[in-house]
Amino acid sequence: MFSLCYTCCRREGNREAVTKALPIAVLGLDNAGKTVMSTGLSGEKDHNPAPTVGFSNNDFKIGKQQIKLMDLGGGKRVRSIWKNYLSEIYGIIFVIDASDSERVTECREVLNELLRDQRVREKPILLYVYYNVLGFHPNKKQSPLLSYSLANKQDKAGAMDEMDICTALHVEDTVFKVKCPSRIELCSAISYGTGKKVDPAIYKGLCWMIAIIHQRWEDLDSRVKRQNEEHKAEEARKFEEKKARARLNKEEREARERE
Amino acid sequence: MLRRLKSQPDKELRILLLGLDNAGKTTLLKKLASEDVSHITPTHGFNIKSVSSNGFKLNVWDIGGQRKIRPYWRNYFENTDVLIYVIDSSDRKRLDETGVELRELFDEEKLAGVPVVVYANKQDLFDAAPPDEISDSLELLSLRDRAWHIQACSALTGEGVTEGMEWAMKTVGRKKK
Ligand SMILES: Nc1nc2c(ncn2[C@@H]2O[C@H](COP(=O)(O)OP(=O)(O)OP(=O)(O)O)[C@@H](O)[C@H]2O)c(=O)[nH]1
Ligand SMILES: Nc1nc2c(ncn2[C@@H]2O[C@H](COP(=O)(O)OP(=O)(O)OP(=O)(O)O)[C@@H](O)[C@H]2O)c(=O)[nH]1
Ligand SMILES: [Mg+2]
Ligand SMILES: [Mg+2]
Repeated sequence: MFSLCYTCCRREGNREAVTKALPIAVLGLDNAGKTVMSTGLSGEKDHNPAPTVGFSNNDFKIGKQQIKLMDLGGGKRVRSIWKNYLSEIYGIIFVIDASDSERVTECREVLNELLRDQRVREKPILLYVYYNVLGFHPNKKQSPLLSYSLANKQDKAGAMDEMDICTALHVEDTVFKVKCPSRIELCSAISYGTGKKVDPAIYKGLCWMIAIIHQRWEDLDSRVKRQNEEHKAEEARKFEEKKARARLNKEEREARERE
Repeated sequence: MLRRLKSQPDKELRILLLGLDNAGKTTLLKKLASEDVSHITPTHGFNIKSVSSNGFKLNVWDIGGQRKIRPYWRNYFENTDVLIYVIDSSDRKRLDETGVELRELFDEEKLAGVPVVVYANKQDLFDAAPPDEISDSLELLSLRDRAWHIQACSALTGEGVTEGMEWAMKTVGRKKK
């Protein structure tokens, strides 16, 4: 399966797209597994990263396509930074820990809020779902570890599959409304290796995303460029305001010191 | 993680501590070196200390932050592995000023790509701005070419200080392999 997927990515894609490093944001709740997955794809093994309170870049290649994964913090007090990255990205990877059934509602709200943003419209979204049970992979649904860890949640003892997840997240409607091509992959970031040896499901998902981006390149690229320019202009304006305020404050302080 | 770092002992990292005057840079440096932090005076030149941590030898350069010293910051940029930028979170009036200074650092060629840890210091004070407010008001959100991390801390009590350094070592450790 791995080699099959690899060749699918190597099929000639859009000429212009492959000359770029495509920015893709990795979003999701805190503790979802974003950093493990992002560093894993760039060839690093770190199964216990500190919570991300900021931003980091992970570069790697899938076939000929260079990707720039932006790994952002997902904690309640960090999420507000996401909006600053939405204009320049070509797609979103949304990571979900399906075993954390207590946070399904929160996850749904965060995802829906994200999808409401204009800048996400029509961009591809890949939902990566995994079960946060050590060594368990969704393909082996009878893992004894799973029933063990969910023993105190008898009503949820069965593993969720794609359909359950779709239902629980109510994503279908929303995704349809904002015209985001979307896809769910069940995967594990820690039961496999790193770099090209990551879970084939992760790889397959990324191949899908790249194919979509290539297919819709003209449209997507012009939208990204426009949004990006707007965002940069807005940032520049804010910085000028800040400089003016800093100058004013400094003058006030100096005047006070002279008195 | 720690094991991997330990197996490559004494990798040296050059760490540059910058920030406005009174931010708490020297206090942070002394705390890192487990020294007394009760009698600290403004820095007119610079201080250097070497601290060993997680198999890294951290050479930390603490430069004075007063306005008239800031033009000399650039003398210390070369070969920096990590930039640590310290902010007095209780001094809201100067958040704009510190943001402008930080942005200028980001434009420096010699600091291109260098990961940055922002210490939102003095969190022990009741009127300290929380880190999310600070990251919003600084120019961090425009960064794309380097990793950044914001760490709430109190250099005085030591809270949060090692967490920020651990992030720095992990991030640079990955790059320096
Ligand atoms: N079982 C299992 N655990 C995982 C997987 N991916 C990550 N984890 C665990 O989930 C925890 C959180 O992982 P992180 O990558 O730090 O989570 P994050 O989404 O980056 O969290 P924030 O940075 O706080 O937003 C870690 O303890 C990982 O070991 C996975 O595929 N399977
Ligand atoms: N409450 C509180 N005070 C702090 C903290 N860190 C530093 N201070 C105080 O802030 C003042 C300035 O600290 P310094 O470490 O000298 O600041 P600096 O950044 O080195 O200043 P310059 O050398 O002038 O650039 C001192 O009175 C410290 O005791 C903190 O976490 N909490
Ligand atoms: Mg993370
Ligand atoms: Mg000092």
